[in-house]
Amino acid sequence: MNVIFPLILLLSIVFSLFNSPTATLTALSIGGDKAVKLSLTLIAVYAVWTGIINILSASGATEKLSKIFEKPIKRLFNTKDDETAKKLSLNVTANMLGVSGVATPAGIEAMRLLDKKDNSHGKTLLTVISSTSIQLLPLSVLQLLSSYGGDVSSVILVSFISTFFTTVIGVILVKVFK
Amino acid sequence: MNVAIYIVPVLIIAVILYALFKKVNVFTAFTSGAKEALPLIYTIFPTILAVLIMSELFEVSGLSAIFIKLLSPVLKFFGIPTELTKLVLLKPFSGSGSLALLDEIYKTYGVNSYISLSASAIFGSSETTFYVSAVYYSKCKNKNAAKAIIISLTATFLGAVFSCFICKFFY
Repeated sequence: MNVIFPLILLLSIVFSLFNSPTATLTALSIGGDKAVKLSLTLIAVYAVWTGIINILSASGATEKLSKIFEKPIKRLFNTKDDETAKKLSLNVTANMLGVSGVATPAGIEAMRLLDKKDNSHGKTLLTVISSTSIQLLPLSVLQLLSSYGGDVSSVILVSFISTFFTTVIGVILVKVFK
Repeated sequence: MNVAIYIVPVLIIAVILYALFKKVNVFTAFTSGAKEALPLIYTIFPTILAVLIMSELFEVSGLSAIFIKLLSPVLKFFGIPTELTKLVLLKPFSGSGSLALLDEIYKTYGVNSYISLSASAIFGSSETTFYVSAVYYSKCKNKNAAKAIIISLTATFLGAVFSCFICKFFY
């Protein structure tokens, strides 16, 4: 972003000097205004979901669910170490549920353990799985959409299919270019 | 098809029942979780502001139109509507920034349009690649994330192409 932001800003402002010199000031205030409005909407969106997700975290459901995935994950990541598998599984499960507060520390710890064993294949795989998103329900998108009266059901469906597709493609690519 | 509308309410029922079963103070857990939203907004507000100003300037300067005109043959070839160009390009760099663009798309094209549906699918199908790899590799000795980044970006782009394709059937 440190490259994109100044580049686009400079180009746009220089360009509008020729088109309409007053446009820059207008754009700045419109942009600021929009940012404030969106942030207010997002406070509501996030507060609802961080609240509900925290009920889930407090009940320990994430840890319980992550036990189920430990075995398949051991095989997928080619690791025999129990501690690594546990962290990997916790990361994947928490990401699926959207509990990022649990997912990120577990992911960093799993990466450190994989790094120690020099398992760069595992490191690539975990990074690709996380950055292709495996969240089952795009909660903030759904909330934002429904605040405008949008149809949530088709979005749930297409998001699920797309995010599944993207992650599968990512995993296949990692396996092919091992 | 309409099983999907039951997912969110059923999920919330399940979360509350399981928490009660585990003797969690549901009210306290909810409020202390909700409290995290304000610091979160506090962190992402500057990014949202920067991206929206950038997007606004890009638009009014007429650069956006030229840029999209140049890129549209490529994106059209892959079946990505030109209205989604900026979202597809920004997503790997900034999550909150692309949420701002998503919001713009909802407002401009209406929430129940093909463009908005595809935009939601694209937004949900990937994470902020550059941020994820920076954070995940932070505690590693071998920090070479090039392969992971290239594969993630490829998968993300193919995911966007796929999203635009399947949305045609659900719109």
